[in-house]
Amino acid sequence: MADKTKLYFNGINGASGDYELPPMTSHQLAQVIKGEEIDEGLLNELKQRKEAHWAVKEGFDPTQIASVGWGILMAHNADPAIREALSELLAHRQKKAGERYREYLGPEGYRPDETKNKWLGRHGMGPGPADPDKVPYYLLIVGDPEAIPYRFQNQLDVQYAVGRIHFDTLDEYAAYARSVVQAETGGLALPKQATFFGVRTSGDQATQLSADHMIKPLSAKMGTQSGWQINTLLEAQATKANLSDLINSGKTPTLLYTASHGLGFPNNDPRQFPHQGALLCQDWPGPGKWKQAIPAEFYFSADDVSNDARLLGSMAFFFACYGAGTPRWDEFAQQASKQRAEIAPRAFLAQLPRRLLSHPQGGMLAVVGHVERAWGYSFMWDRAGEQLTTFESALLGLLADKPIGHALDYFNTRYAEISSDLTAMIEDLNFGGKVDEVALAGMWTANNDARAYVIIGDPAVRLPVSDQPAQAQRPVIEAVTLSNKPVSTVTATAAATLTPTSETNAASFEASAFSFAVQEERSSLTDSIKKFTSELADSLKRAADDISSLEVVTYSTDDLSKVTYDYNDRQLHGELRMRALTRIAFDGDVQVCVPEKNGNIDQAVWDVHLSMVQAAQENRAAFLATMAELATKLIGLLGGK
Amino acid sequence: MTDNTFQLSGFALPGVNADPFGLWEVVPASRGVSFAVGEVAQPEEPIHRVNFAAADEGRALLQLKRRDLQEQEALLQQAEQRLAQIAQAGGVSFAAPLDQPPEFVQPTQTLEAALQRLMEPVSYGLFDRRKQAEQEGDLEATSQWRRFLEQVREMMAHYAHVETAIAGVPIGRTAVGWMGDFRTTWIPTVTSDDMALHRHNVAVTLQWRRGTLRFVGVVGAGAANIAVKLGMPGGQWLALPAVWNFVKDVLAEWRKLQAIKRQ
Repeated sequence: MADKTKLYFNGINGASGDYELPPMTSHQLAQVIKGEEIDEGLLNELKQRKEAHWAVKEGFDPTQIASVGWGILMAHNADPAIREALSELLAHRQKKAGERYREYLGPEGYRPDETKNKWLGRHGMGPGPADPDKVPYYLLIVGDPEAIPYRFQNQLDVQYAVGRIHFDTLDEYAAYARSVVQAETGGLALPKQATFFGVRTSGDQATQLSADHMIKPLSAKMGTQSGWQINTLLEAQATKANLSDLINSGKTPTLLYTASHGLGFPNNDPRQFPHQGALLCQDWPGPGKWKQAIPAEFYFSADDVSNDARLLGSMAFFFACYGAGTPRWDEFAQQASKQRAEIAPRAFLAQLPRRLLSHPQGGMLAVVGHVERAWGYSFMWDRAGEQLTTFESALLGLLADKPIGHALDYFNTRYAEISSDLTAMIEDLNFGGKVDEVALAGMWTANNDARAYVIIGDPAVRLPVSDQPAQAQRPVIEAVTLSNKPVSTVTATAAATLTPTSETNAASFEASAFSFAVQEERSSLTDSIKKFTSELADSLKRAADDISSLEVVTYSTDDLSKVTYDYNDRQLHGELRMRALTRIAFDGDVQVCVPEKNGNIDQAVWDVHLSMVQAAQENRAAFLATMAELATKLIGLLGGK
Repeated sequence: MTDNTFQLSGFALPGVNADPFGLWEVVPASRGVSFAVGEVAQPEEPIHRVNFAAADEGRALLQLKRRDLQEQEALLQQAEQRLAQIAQAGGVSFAAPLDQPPEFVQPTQTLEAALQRLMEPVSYGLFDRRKQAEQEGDLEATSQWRRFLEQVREMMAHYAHVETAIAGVPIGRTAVGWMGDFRTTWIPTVTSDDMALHRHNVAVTLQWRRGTLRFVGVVGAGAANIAVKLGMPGGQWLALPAVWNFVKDVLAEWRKLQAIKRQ
């Protein structure tokens, strides 16, 4: 029987079969927590967030993209081909968000080591509620967590609805983009059907807690309050075969919610990248009965998602360690020993959600999961018992047609509150005050837990359901055949393969600075071309409107040096005598003022005036043709063709 | 003032500050803002100021300048076609046609080398100083083209002022609006021949302005075409420096050859 005085953590080491983090007493955990460093800026912001309960400025509707905007955010040196691969989604979002659509790419994108406040500051926003006229509320981060760290995402997520995608190939990006667009525009009508999948393993306190105090009550609540049909697969039913059937049989529920251990592997283990975060199913005999490496038969990973799966439009919520991703450094160990333990060669997104989202037949729209270890203790509260309000509220919102990024805002509010209270407790502890260690341990785990939930996918997607769902088999997307070549991963590759010596760091910095300069220059060039093209187009349009007349005027003056040109009224001033004027209307009507000399036509002036009229006509025609040709070429250059 | 001069102020050309067609000597605006005496706060607009030592010399010189411009415009067209051929050719090595004009030989070789470099297998190049130097050169060329583009855009947004002087005495000025309106001012003593000279000057200047627009277009279209050949995302930005240098060099080579011929 499990020791009730100890805290149990979610996560099983796939290589050894042991717990990822051994159970510990609250006192032991409190000692670890004392190492927590306080980020005062973040603390203040979290306090404001806690007190104000806002995410978006007053007057905006966070459920509507047109109201609160949508933006894509990539690293400054991201491969432009990724943006192109996502173009279907971007065009769709632009149409919906209108003027509040933004692309943060190149110099506008994320720069190395940038904090949330620094990045927002560059775009005219300080801390506080989102102002969609400055930075959109819905932000899709595109890139791996080495290029744009999880910490930045977590910070940004406090006030904004943030999601992230990162795939290995352009095809996968394009497939995801197409899935979202088809789900939102193709009349996809899925049944209001959710499945709760809860592993409950004998001798394992963590899954017993999650099954009894999360899956059971949550599924019951959803069944009575949401109007959805809820299925529950619990304990003996929570097998890999059943989960595989849910995913691969063509009958994937519209929402899949799982609670289980997530697999963790030692740093650089061959299975770490493909299988970390995979869902450990009921097939695992439990900690007392299985003391060796966990075989693939016990868990469901990306490898188990069949190519024939029909996933379009679904969403999933994985309560599991590393279910969404893994950081490079173990923050838990850092707090305990003040040393950074490397738990993976690089931070990465879990393979399972990536596979589910980028499925070639059409993928899920979003997966919610956990980065780092998930803490089973966080839905149980000291003396208060089971605490599911945040989970319930988020799920009810999602089932009631809220965009996922907005529905999950309850987690952000909870994180803000706990973090603020936790920091006060740590301050007391560090100044010698007395703190309830059990409460502290609970709050700390809950804080880490709430912070680390992330959305893999576009934060603006909704569940595409209907009370009259289509009876036919779930549709698939049109196949994507962009390029299966891997996208450029300069940042990740450099970080993963270079020994961090001062020489390589200096060279890397230099290369990074140069790369940044190139991006800046290209961005300026793109802006210049766009501006030029736009002015050419305006000029041509004005020409079409204004072409009604061509005016040629001839003056004479005794002293040319006293003739001035006014740049405001664009007229000549001085002792001028108009000698001849010709105004030619588009309809062929011509007005002329003929020069006289001694009562007769001044033939010399008149001749040269006429030749000027002819030159003006020829120039206008040639100039307009040249402008049109140039505009076409510059547009071609912008489009790369 | 007895020299024949073609001066352009209010228009800064990037890099060597030279007109790509070799017609104008680019000078600071302050050397002669006669249209706005005492109005120091006035914005700079392009002023094309031509002085001829004598009217006869002027006529001959304008004739020559006009022919030079026409020939260089024809070269621009050939350069555009050449870039399109290169883009369509398989592989990087594109043998020059036997009848390739001499002014294309060196620029084509330079372009070929630049494209070869762009199509080499990707190296992140953290420690490759040679590559970095090449990339810095590319960056500078891209920046030059951008500044050139901005100058041309500015130029098009303003009136063109064309002034003709003979032996230092201005005889006529014309302000040409963007839609082609002409406002010409003459001194009373101007002769019919002088008027014709000025009119010819205006025509050459406007031809130059259109040629400059075409120059921008040829570089832009060339880079877009080469990007197709490179087959990589953002290829047009990679190709741009090489194409800009190629087009510039073709015209510069032609002028060098003309200078030799005319000696």
